[in-house]
Amino acid sequence: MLFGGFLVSYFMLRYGSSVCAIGAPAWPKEGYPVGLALATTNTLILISSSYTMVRAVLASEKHDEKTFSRFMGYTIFLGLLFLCVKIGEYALKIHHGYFPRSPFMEANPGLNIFISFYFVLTGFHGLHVVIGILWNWLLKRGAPRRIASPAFARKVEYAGLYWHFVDVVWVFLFPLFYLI
Amino acid sequence: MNEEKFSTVLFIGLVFVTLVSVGASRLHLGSGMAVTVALAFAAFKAFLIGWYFMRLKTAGAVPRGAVIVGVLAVLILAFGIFPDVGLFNR
Repeated sequence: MLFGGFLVSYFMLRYGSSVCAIGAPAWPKEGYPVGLALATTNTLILISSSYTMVRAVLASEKHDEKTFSRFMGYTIFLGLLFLCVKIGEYALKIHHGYFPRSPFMEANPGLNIFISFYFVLTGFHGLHVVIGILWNWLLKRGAPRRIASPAFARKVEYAGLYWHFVDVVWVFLFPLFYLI
Repeated sequence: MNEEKFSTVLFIGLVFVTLVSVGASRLHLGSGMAVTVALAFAAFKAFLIGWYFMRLKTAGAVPRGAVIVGVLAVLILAFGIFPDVGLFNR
């Protein structure tokens, strides 16, 4: 509901008015450097991590510790890779002046609304990715001792549900910030 | 087809749909249509992830109900504001 509320608010503001309160354009126009290549890369990374998570869940149900650890390791690596790309994208945004009181934002004051939504939503999403990585790492660490337990497979399934939820949120953030 | 193979096929499908949605965004479809197409692709991908990767297809009533309530709440919020936004009158 946190993401749902934010996304609907963003949608309403973006399509409710093309200008901000002072009459300046509030949303990016064509040619705006939105980082589509980096965002597409990140989308593919998250989808890949969802796939490796599915394989880890299946391995845990078969009590196959080796396969579980391998695929959970891939999932953690892909989560970290997602964060690295996102940090790179933030650095590029800041380099281009997409932050409060920069000369670029002083010249385009309406874009503050878009940039605020961008950083809040992608920031919250990134926080969820960090939590997911930590959760997955704890499960991977405990696997050698607990893989035989049915309760462990259930815990891995819950972690999988959370990780897929993080993926689903990104599936909607991606078009709303980069494709439209 | 076992679950491992099926998830691999689904993964390839999700990658394909992602690339098609990026291509479609470059077609200059106009504001309303571009949003509709982009969100349709997103909803399709979310359905595939939810139904198969999250196993909602075989889940019990409680997990399925929790997801349905969440999705419905967001949809009511979204469709409730469409008249104010005037999206389809632009």
